Amino acid sequence: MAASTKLADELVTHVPNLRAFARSLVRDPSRADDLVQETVLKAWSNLERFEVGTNMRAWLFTILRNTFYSEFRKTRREVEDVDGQHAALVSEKPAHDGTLEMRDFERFFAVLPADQREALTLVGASGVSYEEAAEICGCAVGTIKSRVSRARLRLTEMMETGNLTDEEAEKFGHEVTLEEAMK
Amino acid sequence: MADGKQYEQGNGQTESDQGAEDAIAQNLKRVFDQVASEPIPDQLQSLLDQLKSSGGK
Repeated sequence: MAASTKLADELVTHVPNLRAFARSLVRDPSRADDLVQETVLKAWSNLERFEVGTNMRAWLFTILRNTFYSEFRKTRREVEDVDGQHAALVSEKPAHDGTLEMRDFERFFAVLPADQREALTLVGASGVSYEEAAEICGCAVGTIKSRVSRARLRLTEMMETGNLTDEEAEKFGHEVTLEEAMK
Repeated sequence: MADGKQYEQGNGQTESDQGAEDAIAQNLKRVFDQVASEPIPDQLQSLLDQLKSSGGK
């Protein structure tokens, strides 16, 4: 079946982007990869439903996102309002070779609500248009725009004020306080 | 780092906000691209190999 072999090959090429998108929803790398794995399996078993000629990346992002909200999140006991905070607090992996600023950014990003993280990642990093993002997230374009702008506003605030408490900063295991990092 | 200076140097609210906007955009892309350019972890890779070798079902 040459056609579906082609589709399978195409699917594989999207995996790096899927991993990056997953990481914006699930901060822990191995759990994010579990989500990708589940997404790939689902996509694979529904490959015949994919309309050839349409955007496979958007299709895969949609599956990943639906999987995250419908199953993954529940089974992982991630709760809507606090999952960002939780993710940030439990995350103590050392930054790869990232700058301090980058680690700060990731922490700030992690405390945003999931709907804002995904909107921001989709349009701000993955190269998806507002229209595609709206389709992927099953909402209006205006909703994506407002999520993105709220996320940017909040991030800007956090970057300017570094408003995490000392206690939080301690839990992150960083020796340098955010105030110092901002100087 | 270099990005940090953008909001540090912004005296006016607008400049500062603009600097932060740029920093946000840069960081978003950097984080995304960093993950996307990582090698696929073994477990996931072997799943993909399996799927591919099953020849599109």
